[in-house]
Amino acid sequence: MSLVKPVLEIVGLEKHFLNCEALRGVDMSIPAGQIVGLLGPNASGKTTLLKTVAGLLQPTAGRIHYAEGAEPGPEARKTIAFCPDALTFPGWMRVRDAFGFYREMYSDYVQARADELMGILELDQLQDTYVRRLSKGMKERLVLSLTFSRETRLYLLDEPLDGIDPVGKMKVIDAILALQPEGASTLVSTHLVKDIERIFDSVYFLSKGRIVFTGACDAMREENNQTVEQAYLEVFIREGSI
Amino acid sequence: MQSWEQWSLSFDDRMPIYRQIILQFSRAFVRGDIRPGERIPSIRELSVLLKVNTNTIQRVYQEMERGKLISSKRGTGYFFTEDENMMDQTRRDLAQDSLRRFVEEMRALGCADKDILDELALFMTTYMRGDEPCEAGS
Repeated sequence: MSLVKPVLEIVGLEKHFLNCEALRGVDMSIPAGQIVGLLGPNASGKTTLLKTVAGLLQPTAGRIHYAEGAEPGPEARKTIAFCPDALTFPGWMRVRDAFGFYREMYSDYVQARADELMGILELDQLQDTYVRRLSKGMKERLVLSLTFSRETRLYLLDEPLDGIDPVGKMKVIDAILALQPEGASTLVSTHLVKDIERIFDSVYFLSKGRIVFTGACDAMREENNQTVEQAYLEVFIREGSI
Repeated sequence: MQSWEQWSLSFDDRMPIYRQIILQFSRAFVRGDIRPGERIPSIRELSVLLKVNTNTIQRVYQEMERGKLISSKRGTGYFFTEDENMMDQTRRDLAQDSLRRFVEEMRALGCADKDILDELALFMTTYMRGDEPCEAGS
């Protein structure tokens, strides 16, 4: 057991909407310095979980503990870098305005990190391009760059590979590996398991609002002779989710 | 000089990734692609090059350091051993590993140990001499 305090600890988290129970008693612990995969098919509750941890949704029940000791909600939002699955900037903004917005908005924004990210994700030539003119893949790259331009302890990435071509996927993975600060952790939701499983330390499988499996990736290969993708298929076929 | 960019990005599904990377290092060392005393990439650099988690690379370097294959020099990075004997040792370790897998596979095919030795002797005296190993119909 690690003596280092987890960056994030979730106990019995529930989130109910009017007509559904999106999260049903989620427990999770993210150690410092790890990249953790949150895997599950569509509508399993991944985005709800990330948004609740990011302080954008109020939990119905349960507790969320952050390393910084922040209270869930607006206070947590200041210390957590959340990368939504879609860019929400108005179309009249240019790429440089989006970075300018983040610079003004977040005290943990670091220009040198933004510059490095723009290089890795090839946004440096698009500074004057309107956000509305960017392709889906470039929008994903932009929102990821903005997220990692902040230097913080916890990054939450919602489907960062969705809609990105294979070369773009490699670049996104490069950016995560190169820019995650020492001791910080990243929780990545995805259903594109094969593309990204090599960067995970451990994974959680979410099905219908419940964690149905968790494991360390090395141990899965060593003890069960299984890749994350193989375990994913086994678990979700059993669950009847795919 | 090792060209790190050319290291394979495709890993075997069943073996933990850290062990596969240690194997890649060992083979490169034995082949002479990594020279004794050569500086190897930092943990972060190799992580990005191989698209593998930094903790995995950290484990690779820890294991190799424990096995005296590499050493870390404070502030300057990681270096391969200059001990020439380590190359022989590593070659023997890799050979043992190959032989173990070969024997396991032959036993799984139902071959007795004596048959394995006979098959190997026959193989070494025919195929490895440059002859084709008895082709059907020839």
